[in-house]
Amino acid sequence: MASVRRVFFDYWLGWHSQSRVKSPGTHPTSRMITKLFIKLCFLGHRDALKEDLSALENLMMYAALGAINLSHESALQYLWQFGLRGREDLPVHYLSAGQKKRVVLARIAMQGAPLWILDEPFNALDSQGVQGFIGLLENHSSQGGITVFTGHQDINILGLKVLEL
Amino acid sequence: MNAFFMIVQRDLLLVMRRKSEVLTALFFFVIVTSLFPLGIGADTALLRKIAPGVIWVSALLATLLGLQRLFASDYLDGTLEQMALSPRSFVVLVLGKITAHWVVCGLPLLILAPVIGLQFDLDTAALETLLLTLLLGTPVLSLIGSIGAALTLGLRGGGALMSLLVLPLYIPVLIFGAGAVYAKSVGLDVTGHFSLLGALLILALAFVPWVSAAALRIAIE
Repeated sequence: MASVRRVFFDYWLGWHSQSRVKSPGTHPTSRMITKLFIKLCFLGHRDALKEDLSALENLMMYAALGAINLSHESALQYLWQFGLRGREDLPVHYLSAGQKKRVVLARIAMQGAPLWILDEPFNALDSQGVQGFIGLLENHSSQGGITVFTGHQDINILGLKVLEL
Repeated sequence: MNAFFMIVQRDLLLVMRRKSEVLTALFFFVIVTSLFPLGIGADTALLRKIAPGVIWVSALLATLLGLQRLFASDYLDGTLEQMALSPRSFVVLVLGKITAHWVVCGLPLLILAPVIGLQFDLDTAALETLLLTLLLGTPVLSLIGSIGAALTLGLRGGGALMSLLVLPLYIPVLIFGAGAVYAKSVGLDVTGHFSLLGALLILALAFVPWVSAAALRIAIE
């Protein structure tokens, strides 16, 4: 995480380089990190959903955590967009792995950060889910956002640059 | 401030969804404190004398039971990582989690204490003092315990290590908490005890959230 934070911070410096000059190697202060994290959406190995809360409650929790004003209706819209209609109020532990992943995608779409760093976001998604997610990614990049993600699958996304590791 | 109430509300909601975890700690408190009068017998003078110590030690152990789960579930499902990455102040979020832990594991002890006190034949004055010391002391237990919980997060067998780390730090609270009740029952002045407990609480409130947040950052990295 320390090195990841370093990378995020260097990215952030680049983001702000037009408006202010910073010497490389500046230690990130907490205020800078706060500013950066508003712009960042991170998905790690674990899906970071509370199993005992419903999909809707999870989404509302992340909206509150990200200081985002999210109405009940628009939260439902995000879930419906990823095919979770009728499962909004089920505790997440009743959902399958693919459905959980869809809740995570709804969260990513809801947070609306310009930088997404996603670890294997395509795992457990069915082909319909993959198509929906590709649409989301293309929409994101067409609006000037950046996505960095890892994956095993061959995926066709507009403007995708592949790094073999 | 919003972040604080948000996290308290979320943690309480999670507890309501899984009540068994909290009830375990409460029943532990009730049963341990009930075993003493049963084991010692109906010697009211002796019971009255040991009551403050027994109730306070049981409260320490009951708090310790709940501590293991303070950060563990958020750590395991990755939510803690998201909290650390969120634009909200991590320290405030940690303080919110500690507060929720106190509401769940400390506050019920206060409500149960008068009933437990009856088993030890405590009079009203001693019961009042006991309640007040618990009111000042249990938040300190939750706060100090959170440091241990954060430091042992993700370790195998961290529970035992946490007890070893945390219990010695509980000693001042135990001494002044139980001491106040004893002093009251023999007619001594107890303002000194309360001042010290209050000082401990203020000190813990001022420093512990930062320490715990730093320890959690180490655990996540």
